[in-house]
Amino acid sequence: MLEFSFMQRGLLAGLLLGAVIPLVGMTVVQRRLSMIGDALSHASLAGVAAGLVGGVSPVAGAIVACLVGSLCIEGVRRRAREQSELAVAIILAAGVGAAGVLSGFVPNASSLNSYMFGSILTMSDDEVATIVVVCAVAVVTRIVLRRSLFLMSFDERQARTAGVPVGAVNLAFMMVVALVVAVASRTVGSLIVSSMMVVPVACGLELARSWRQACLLSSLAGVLASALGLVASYYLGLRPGGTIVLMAIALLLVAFASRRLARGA
Amino acid sequence: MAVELGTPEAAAPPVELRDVRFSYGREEVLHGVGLVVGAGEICSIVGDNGAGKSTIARLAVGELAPTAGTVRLFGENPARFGRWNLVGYVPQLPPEAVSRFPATALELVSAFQGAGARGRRLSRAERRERSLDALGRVGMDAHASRMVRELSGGQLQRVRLACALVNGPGLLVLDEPTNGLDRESREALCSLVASTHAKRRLTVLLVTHDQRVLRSLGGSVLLVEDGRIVRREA
Repeated sequence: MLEFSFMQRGLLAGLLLGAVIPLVGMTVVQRRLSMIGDALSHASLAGVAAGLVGGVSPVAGAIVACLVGSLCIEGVRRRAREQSELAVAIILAAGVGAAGVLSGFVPNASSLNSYMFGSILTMSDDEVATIVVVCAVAVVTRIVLRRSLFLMSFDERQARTAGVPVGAVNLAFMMVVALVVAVASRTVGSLIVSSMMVVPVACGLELARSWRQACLLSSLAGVLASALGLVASYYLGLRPGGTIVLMAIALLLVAFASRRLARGA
Repeated sequence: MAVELGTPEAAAPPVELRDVRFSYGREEVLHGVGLVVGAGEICSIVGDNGAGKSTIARLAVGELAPTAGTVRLFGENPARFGRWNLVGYVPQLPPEAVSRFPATALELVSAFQGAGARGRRLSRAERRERSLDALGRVGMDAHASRMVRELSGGQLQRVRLACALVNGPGLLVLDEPTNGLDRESREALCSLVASTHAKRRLTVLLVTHDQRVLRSLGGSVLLVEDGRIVRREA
């Protein structure tokens, strides 16, 4: 399997995103913003469609759309925190609407389809390089802001009086989420990326006995799901994006079972 | 009505509100509130639900900005305040907020270490030692490695108090800290706040509707009604 260069690229991208998406997702889930992945992935789909219609890079379109979507969500959150869920839902609806309309003008419908459900095995070297850069940015941001993100995940109000510049950290984090969602839409697919932001995190939360463990276990679950999903999709002829998510669900069921066994022991 | 508590000192008071008004949207909920809490004082704000007492606390720590009037935190505008190591804040926290939070008590207290402090950064060992010390002071050192989501309401509040006290603040702001606690936990928490106040000459701004908390902590009591301070009792 690894003799094929497309599999090597796919595995590299899959493993990197498998590690990084849950790392970002941990903060998203703890801040009760799980729908952000959905909203931004739908915005990315609109960006992809715009890119295909305009004849520019679909990933660049997805990045721009995700950044604009994340800025809109953050803008509403700053003005009225209690409206943040509504803002997320509105961005999701806007993304679906725009993608639906623009899809009618896309010259080759199958190209848009590959972004909806991912096409990890057809990536070019440049696309893999983009994923490497975005993952590096996400990891560095996550490390630099680890204390701030931890405190904000616990209680944004208390974080503010602990000296955390909540507004600036929120903005930086949302930018990172937007970038990760945008590049992941090419690999696991726009409609699937939000699952990778939540399901491996649920695995980590089920088994962890500390914040550090939860972050590590979530990333590990993401990596495992990606690796198992890619291998299974290769040998069984399945679509990689969906297979990766189903593997993550299987890992979550294993985590549930092992926790139950541990309780019973 | 501006309410002055205690003797004015040369140093700026920890909390100062002058003719403060605040609106949620178009609805004004505070109508010209004035309050000065001097160093080492205990000031409790009481009133019915919706009277505006929590809003006063949130304004005092800069969580909200007034629509009119002046707020000062240790003599500075809270929006530009940088010495957050001087402030310990325990806002209300719904139980579901920690129901999934995967951190130990020690991790939580450690994260609050060094907030706004200037000077050298603490090493990991120093942070751990200080965090354990803070947990010890609230009687929770034996639970340092337990997940906060597994703690009882009283234990969680004590850990949150340790978070607020870990930097040795001059001001402690507590918003309904005994909500949902049983008698034993409530008394333990009040006793902790009282002893910390006595040992460190800590300024305490407390929001509560619980008369039993007022009795055990003492200090001055301000009654808030319909967005105004209508009475002061010592």
